[in-house]
Amino acid sequence: MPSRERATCGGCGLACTGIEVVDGATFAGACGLGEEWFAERLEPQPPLARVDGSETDLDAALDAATDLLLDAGAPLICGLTQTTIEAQRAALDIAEAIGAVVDSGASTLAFQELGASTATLGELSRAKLTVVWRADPETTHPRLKLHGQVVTVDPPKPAGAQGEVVALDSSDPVDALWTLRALVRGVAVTNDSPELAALAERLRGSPHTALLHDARDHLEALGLHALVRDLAPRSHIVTLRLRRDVNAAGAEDVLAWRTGHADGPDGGEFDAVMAVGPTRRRPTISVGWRPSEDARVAIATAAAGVHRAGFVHRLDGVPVPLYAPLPSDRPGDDEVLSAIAGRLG
Amino acid sequence: MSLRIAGGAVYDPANGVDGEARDVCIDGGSVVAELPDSAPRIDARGMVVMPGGVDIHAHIAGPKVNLARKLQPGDPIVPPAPETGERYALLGYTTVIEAAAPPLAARHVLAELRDTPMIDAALLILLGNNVMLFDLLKRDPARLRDAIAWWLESTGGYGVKIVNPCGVERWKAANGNVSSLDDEVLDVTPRRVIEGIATAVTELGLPHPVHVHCNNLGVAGNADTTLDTLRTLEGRRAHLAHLQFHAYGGDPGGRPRSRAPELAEYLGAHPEISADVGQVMFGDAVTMTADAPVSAMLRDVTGNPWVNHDTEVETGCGIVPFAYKERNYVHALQWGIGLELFLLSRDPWRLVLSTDHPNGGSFLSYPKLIRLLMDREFRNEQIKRANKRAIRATVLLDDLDREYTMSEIAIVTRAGPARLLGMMQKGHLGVGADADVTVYDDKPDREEMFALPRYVVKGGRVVVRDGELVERVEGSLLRSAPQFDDAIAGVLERDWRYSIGFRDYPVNEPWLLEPARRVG
Repeated sequence: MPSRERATCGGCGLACTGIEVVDGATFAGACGLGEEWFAERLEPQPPLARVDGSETDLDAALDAATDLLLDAGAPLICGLTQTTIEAQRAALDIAEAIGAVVDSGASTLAFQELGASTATLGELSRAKLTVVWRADPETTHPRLKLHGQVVTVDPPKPAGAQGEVVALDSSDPVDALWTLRALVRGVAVTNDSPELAALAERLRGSPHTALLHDARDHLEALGLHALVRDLAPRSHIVTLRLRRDVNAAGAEDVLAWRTGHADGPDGGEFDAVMAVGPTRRRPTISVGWRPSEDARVAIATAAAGVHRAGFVHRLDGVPVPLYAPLPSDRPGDDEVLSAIAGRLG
Repeated sequence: MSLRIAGGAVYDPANGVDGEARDVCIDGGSVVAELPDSAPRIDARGMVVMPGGVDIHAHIAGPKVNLARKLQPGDPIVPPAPETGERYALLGYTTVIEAAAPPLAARHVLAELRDTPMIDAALLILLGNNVMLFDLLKRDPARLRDAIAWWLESTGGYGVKIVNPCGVERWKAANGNVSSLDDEVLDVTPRRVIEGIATAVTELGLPHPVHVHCNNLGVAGNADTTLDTLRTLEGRRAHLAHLQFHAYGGDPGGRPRSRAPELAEYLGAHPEISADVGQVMFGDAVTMTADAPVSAMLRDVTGNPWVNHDTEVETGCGIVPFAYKERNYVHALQWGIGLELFLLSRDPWRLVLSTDHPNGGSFLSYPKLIRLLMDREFRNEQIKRANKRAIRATVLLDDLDREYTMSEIAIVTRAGPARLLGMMQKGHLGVGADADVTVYDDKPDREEMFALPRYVVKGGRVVVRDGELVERVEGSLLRSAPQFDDAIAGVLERDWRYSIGFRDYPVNEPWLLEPARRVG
């Protein structure tokens, strides 16, 4: 009998449940992106703990990380979007102990101005019209089901786009959004795009619409929320941001409930950077299943979702458990962070 | 830790103690009969001693509270989780009910509660628009009881909340709502949902009866719906949430008036029914509710930022920041109706204090509300400042000169809610009760008095001293313990409609569920 363990996939923001790990090697039920995500985590890991490039024991690395954090005048904690709520909470414990700034990777400016209408994944099936706004879910979120008539606006890869495609003649999507808003509201506006006019008509006529996007730009997000607000009195319209990282929503959520705000810093200089998982910054301390090699302290932990359990908030905010279908003798990043917090406290 | 709180005027209405000078002895987290003279003591002579406060209906944790934080960063009305616990403790409250937890988001709600220190907390889970329960109601109503118990057990829940039954489902389907108890949605009606769930909760013997947010919240004339709901519930125990928001006369779409006297009368005559008031307080608030169609209405009325979040299978969510203005007719009427309900209440044990935090105003406004109830002169001054037409539409000017006694305040803020919740160890100071105690200076300005307790003891630890937080303690999750037939799991798994797997849905992470205490 082959062994079968339950798993949740962390390959994208959908956090698909119901994956079966057969004999510790085959991931039945995962998409290509998911299979890759699991496979990466089965590769040999770097040594558990390194300080300044040299292998050491965990205690010494924890001490070194603690010293670096204590010595820092302006510490930053970042990464966080690919790990569990448990690890995010532990990271916040560290931040509170030393007064570190936390970068959740989120920007809620547009949300603060207008709010948003959103839904959990299961609600998207009510849509009679699904508009994919400048995104490519087939590549980034392969298991995302689109419902009703599908229109993809300005797809990053036109060849593979789902449903009808509306190209944006204007190079600026924000301009296009404002034109669309005017058309939806019946305001006279210069518009040379019959496709945009047709889209406005469909939006006006749809009783139930889902708008999927991955807008990170403030003005673009604001335009989308404003469009939704314009349409909301006449149509049930919900949006979903197609976050890629499996717990990007959780990073935002944990920061909000712990501190009352969700956003990362707007610029700033930091003399010590602790990364939990991958980051674009250059970390001083790196904690994760595959820590950054050039960090002064690098701790390679058990991988959440394969070797370590916990839970995440998938892209729609729904909490989903990750499991540990395979054994590991390494600690999880949540445990490592808690140990550092304990040393600081 | 043992402690004698010596010589204070003790208000412990559950045990018939009405301001007598007594010692309260606590040891190991509970109230005890006696302690050796050598035990540490607090000299409480000249002070007022009460059990710790119990908030029967507030929104303090979970997705909607957190969305409100993100919408208005730094807004003191929706403080971060740690500060929420601390602020409650600083007001002498030691137990708080999160009154609208979406079961699907239970892990999130529980994780936030783990970061909310100082208070014991319990969840009421949202089941009134759950389409799987609708199916059972049609197909196999006898199973409803087991299904509800399964949901409670799977979420760490304490009790069951119904919010605008069927109306939220119709909102998610088509921006709609229901307007009467007999509107059909997916072949059930609000009446059938209310009856079915209330009966099931009664049969399960849960410590708290079904907690109902009626249909038509905020709509002029909704008192008819509220009375229809009450008649539908008749004979069964039930708790009505924020009754003030459901006590309006007039015609839908028109100018509301007060029907508080009628509802107070009904409540007085029906001992199986209880309610919390849902007082509005002038100033800033944040409306947040599972009743999403109401939020859409507030969006259109205010033009303010608006959040809508459709939660599959079971519920919705709406958020709109709001401000109640004393010169505004509707707001002043709402304020007046809340006070009418309090002042006409025949039984403080069954009509208890809430602002539906933060919908009617923050829990931080409780001390002011207490002063409005205890201090007629202060109240009359405030009444003079409010919209005159609104006040004339109430009976507040008709010799309603009642002043709540200290004992009645102890009832509506702790003894009553604890009894209605079936929490036998809360809300009183008898032997065996939890050692949650609040000591106030007996100041003539009751707002000042209740805003700044002298001491707060939580689980036997002194956590507030001279108005300052001196120790951070973790609270417990309070859960119910319903018995049910495990076979329900197979039924639910077969008809599972969520986007997350059946086996992934129940919360089983120990850190989310411990420490917990089972009640009932």
